[in-house]
Order: sequence, then structure tokens, then C-alpha cells
Amino acid sequence: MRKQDDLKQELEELSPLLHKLKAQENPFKTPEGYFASLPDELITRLRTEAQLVSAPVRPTSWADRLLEFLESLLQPRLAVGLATIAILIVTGLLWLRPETGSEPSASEQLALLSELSAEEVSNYVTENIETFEEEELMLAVAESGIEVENSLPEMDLDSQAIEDYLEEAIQEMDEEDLETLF
Amino acid sequence: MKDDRQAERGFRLLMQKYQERLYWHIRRMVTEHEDANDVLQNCLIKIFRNIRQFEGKSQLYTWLYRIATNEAISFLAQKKRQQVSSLDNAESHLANTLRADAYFDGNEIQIHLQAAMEGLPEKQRLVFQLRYFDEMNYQDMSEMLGTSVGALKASFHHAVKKVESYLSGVQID
Repeated sequence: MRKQDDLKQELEELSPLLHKLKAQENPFKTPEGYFASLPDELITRLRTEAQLVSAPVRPTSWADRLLEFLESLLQPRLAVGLATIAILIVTGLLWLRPETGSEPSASEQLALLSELSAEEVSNYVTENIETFEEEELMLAVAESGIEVENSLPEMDLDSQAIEDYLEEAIQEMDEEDLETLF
Repeated sequence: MKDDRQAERGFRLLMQKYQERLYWHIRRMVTEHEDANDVLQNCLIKIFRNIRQFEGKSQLYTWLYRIATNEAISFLAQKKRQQVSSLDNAESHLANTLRADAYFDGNEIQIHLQAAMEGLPEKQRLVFQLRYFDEMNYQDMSEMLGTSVGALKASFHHAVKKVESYLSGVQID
């Protein structure tokens, strides 16, 4: 640190009141032993975080594997494939739909669609995934030629078991966990 | 493994040397101990993870102060967004918080000093704090904030006049 310039003199000239106040004791306090224990606390925190990073937990239950598969559907590579199929579906619908006077024609809409980037389309599909029929999605996966690495393992699932699992998982989450999901 | 131990030892030394100064700098910005503790811990962890990015172009302590300041400013911005609008203004809200704080035992004039600082524009408040409490010289401050020494002096002078005017206007029981 460089040598202090003359704060005292500067303050005396600028504001005798503030200069006088500066002599008073620091009014802020800390819990006893706070600074002595802080380094150990932080080192422990760093070690714990490092362990968590180096040993990721592999999901083992069928429900975890199911969630992992669902997550894999949202991988960018697959999402692009889905987006391509979505474009084809939308294009087909536009060609088949009768044109009205006030709306842009099918060819104009197609021109607009072609200006969209794959990322924009991918984002649209991800945001509106619920509006796509399951069959459309499965068809999209099959026709896109993309291999799904995390294919669904053979499991004896019923919808009640899935609902029970999700219910239980949500109950165990605190508010913060839920916020990070949305 | 050996590297990890060395890094830990180095970090421990760095904490011993700077943790108190960084704490008080953060504490004066965020006011309450719990908040200061959270911000300081996040700040020190960030320093530990990024220490290799310190290029030695500035002094280590101004680099550390810059990280601490940025952490505290982000925290305050986040807190401001979360706060429900109150009928009280920011200064009186702060004064009430300090009176109820178990880790603050200042007198009324010290409470008003904190409240006066709360009313300053963000940059001016930071300059006032760095100069008045942390006693940082203008050259280091200039390095840290990327502002000229002349502009910093002017900013400090304005801040002092505003704080003094605020203190002259309040009645101390």
C-alpha cells in the first residue's frame, strides 16, 4: 500500500464536524471470535464444494434414470432435430390452411420462417414443448436420425408410481430449490 | 494434492492479512453483520478461485477491494429488488435497522452519519467510504475505480458537504 496522503488535514479543512466524528470508536461489532474462525470455516466450505464437484452423484433409482432421460430430450443436439421437424410440421399446416385477406399468405409466412435461425426455432420448441403431441416428438426423434444415447432402460413403470415420486421430490425441495428450477 | 495444500496455506495467509479490512469495507456498505458475512465469504471464495487471474498490474489490495466492492454492490442491487416498497424512506429505514441491530452500538450521531451516507449517489458514497473510513489514498482509489484523481477529490468533497449538511439538519437528542 502506498503511503497515506494527508486525510487528516483534508478533513479538518473540509469539515471539522466529520473530522471530530472520525475519532469515535467503530460502532459496528462482530460476534466473538468471528475473524479467528472464518478461515477454517471457509477452507471447510471450499473442500466440501471441491468434493461435490469431483464426485458427481450417479442417479441409481429408476425414477432418477427416468428424469435423466427426460433431461436428455432437452439436449441442444436433439432440440435442433426436434426444431427441424417442427418447421416441417408448421410448413405443412401453413400450406394446407386456406388464406384470408388480412393475414400474410402461406408463401410469405414461409419466407418469414426461413429467416429464423435454428437456435430461435429450438428455443420456441423448448418453450412450447407441452403443446407438441407426444407422437410428433417421437416421430421427430425417429426422423431426425439422431441417436438417443440415454435410451430409456427397460422398467416396469406405472403413472401412479411416477406421480408419487414427483410428489415426494417436490415435498423435499425447499423454496430456493424450486426457484432454481424455474 | 501437494498443490492443494499449498493453495490452502496461501489462501489462509491471504485471509489473515486482508479479511478484516475487506469485512469492514463490506460491512459499511451492506450494514448488517449477517449480510456482510455472506458477501465476504462469497468474495473470498471468488478470490481463491480467481487468484491466478491477478496479473500484478494493480496492487493486490486494490484488486481485492474491487472484488469486494462488486460483490457488495451486486448484493445490494439484489436486495433492493427483493424489498417490498416501504412508506419509510431509505435513510429512516436504515436508522431503524441500526437501532435494532445487536452488532451495532453507535450513538445517535453515528446512526445519522450512516443514514446520511445512504442518501448519497452510489459512486459518491463509495468514494466517501473508501476515503473517510478505509483511508485509501486517491492514487490507489483511482487505480481501483478507473477514475481520475481530480474527479475523485471532487467527488469526496461533494460527499463531505452533503453529509455535513445532513448532520447539521438533524436534531440529536
